Amino acid sequence: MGNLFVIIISSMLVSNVVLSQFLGICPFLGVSKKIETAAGMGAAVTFVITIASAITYPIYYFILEPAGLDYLETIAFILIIAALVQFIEMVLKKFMPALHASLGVYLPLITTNCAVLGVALNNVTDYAEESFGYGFACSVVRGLFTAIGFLIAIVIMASIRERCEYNDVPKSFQGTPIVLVTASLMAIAFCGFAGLV
Amino acid sequence: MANNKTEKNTLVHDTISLFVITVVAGLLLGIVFTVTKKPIEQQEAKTKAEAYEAVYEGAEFAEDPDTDKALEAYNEELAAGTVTKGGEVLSDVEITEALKASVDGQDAGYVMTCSAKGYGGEVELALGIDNEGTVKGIRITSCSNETPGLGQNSAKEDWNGQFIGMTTGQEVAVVKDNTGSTESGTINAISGATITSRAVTRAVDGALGFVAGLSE
Amino acid sequence: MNSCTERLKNGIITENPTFVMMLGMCPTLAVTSSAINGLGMGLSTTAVLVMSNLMISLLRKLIPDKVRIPAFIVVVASFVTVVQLLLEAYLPSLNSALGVYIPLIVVNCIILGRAEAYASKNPVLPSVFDGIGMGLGFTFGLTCIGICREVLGSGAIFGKTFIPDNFHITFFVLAPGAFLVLSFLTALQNKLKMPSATNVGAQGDIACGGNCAQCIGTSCAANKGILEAERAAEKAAKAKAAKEAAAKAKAAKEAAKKQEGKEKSQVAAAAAKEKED
Repeated sequence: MGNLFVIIISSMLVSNVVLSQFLGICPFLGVSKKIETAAGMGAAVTFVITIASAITYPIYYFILEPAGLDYLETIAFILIIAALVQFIEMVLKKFMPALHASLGVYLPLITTNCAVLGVALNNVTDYAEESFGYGFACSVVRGLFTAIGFLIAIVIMASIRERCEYNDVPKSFQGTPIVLVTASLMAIAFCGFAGLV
Repeated sequence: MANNKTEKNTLVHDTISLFVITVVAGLLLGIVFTVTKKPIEQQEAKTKAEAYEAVYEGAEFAEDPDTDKALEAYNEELAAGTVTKGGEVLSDVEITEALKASVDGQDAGYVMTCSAKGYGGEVELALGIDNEGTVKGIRITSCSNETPGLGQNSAKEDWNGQFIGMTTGQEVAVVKDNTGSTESGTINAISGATITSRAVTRAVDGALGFVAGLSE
Repeated sequence: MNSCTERLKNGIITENPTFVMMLGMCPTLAVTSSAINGLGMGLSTTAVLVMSNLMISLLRKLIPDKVRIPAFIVVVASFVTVVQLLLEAYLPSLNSALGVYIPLIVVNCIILGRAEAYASKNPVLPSVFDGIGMGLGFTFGLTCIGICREVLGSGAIFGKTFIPDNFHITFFVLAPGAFLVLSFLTALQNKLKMPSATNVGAQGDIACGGNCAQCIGTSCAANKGILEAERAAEKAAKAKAAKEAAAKAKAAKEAAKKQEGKEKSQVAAAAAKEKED
């Protein structure tokens, strides 16, 4: 249990997926103009990363590893993730139209979100030697909280950007540069969590 | 109806071509894997041998069944968190390999590979310890997950040279006030990278503890 | 041969993936803590890019249109694994330094973007040169950022220290420094009015930190497609409505001349509205 708690804190705050691992930068910079869209993107990512880590870990553990095919992990995982995103979209459309309406537009974007693949790959390298039950729990918890870390970061970013919209930014820094400066300051703040674990 | 049929046909066609591409890709990867397998193993063996040579000059190394057995038991103890040294629980330390070293056919201690959890992931190091239980040499073999310019400086000899001369009787600890010395068993932390410094120290402590247990 | 040199120039200068297109931001920020890592990452990406462009261009007539994206992903992922295995075998130190970012080349939007935008539509030779150009452009960008961060942060270039320890600004090799260096580079570009995705102003809405018109990333392209389809549908609906209104007006005109003025003003209003849009 103590270990799981450490995983939660470290994946959510200490090694935040965006601000210290640099995964999922594109949506972080691109879809963070409004809080609502940022939250939608964050929720969709949470959904996909959690399910993806729950599926990729058993596949690695029971199929790739015993067959000695662990070098196929990249190609297998990216295909699983792509199929999974399509599948989730179909299921949502059919059974949860309301959720689909709010997440739908973000789902296709997630296939090429490197955070999903990154978490899946990190999970199998870090937990492949554990027993299945424990490794599985660790993978899912890490997936969920990494994604929540993404949600936190992108929503904070969007809030800051909304507040700064009418600020008098120097001309050269308008647009992407000021967003990157904001990201830099946020990353400094997140460095403060380093001592927690 | 006709429309439906062609749609089905293209579906089958699409599926088959995608399947063929995937199978061909898989086969190609298999070939590349078998071709590169040997060089990868050689490369790993070579890096390891070089590291051992560096930490214990002029010695020869061989596996030893007794050591392996002891190592297995010790690793279990480590993982269970029952080993403490220098005021820290060494639960993250793992000794992945321990070989007997011999100079001119005479037993001369051990070389080992051990790891501990640093700032961004595992820090791995090779360590040579002689019969008296004194650290002969140390080399950080992997610290690429540590912060460049901070934690990665642990690989520099002017820092990790501090460990040379530490003995099994000592509980090596990190100090931040630059008062570290071999006699007192203390190491000066790398400024700004205390977590990495501690990780290396824990790994060394773990290895020293192992050797101390062996000679008992 | 002319088109080949043109492709090279296009990749390195005109459409430089790092500075102009702002693509592949994840590796750009993550592995540039030293110049040598940036160079290694750039060259690995180049290798994947060239091979995948070559293969996709060869297969472009065989891959069915509907499943092309998964097919591209398979091709790219295989080459990434090949590069990873080769690095492990012959350059293990670089492999461990780049770590998880090597397999993540798969989701680098430069590669899928080039496959979709260029290699799937053009013959083999130009596609290969397109890959070389784009790859070298990316390598150039990463190495530049790597040099900036290494000089400021650890006072060295390619591992050769030339600034004494006390003058290192460690901040720049840490995560926040990556964002800051990139922000100043893009600001500099804005200042010099160099062509860049960021130059268009603060309008850029979706992904890649820039505007979609110039972005070739597939997801963004798809996005743009959706948006454009929506826009077209809207336009068609409006046109239809206007037509109906016009027809009505015609009918009304025939029926009662009194109504004419009113209807006309409505149509005019609709037209004016459309103009505004």
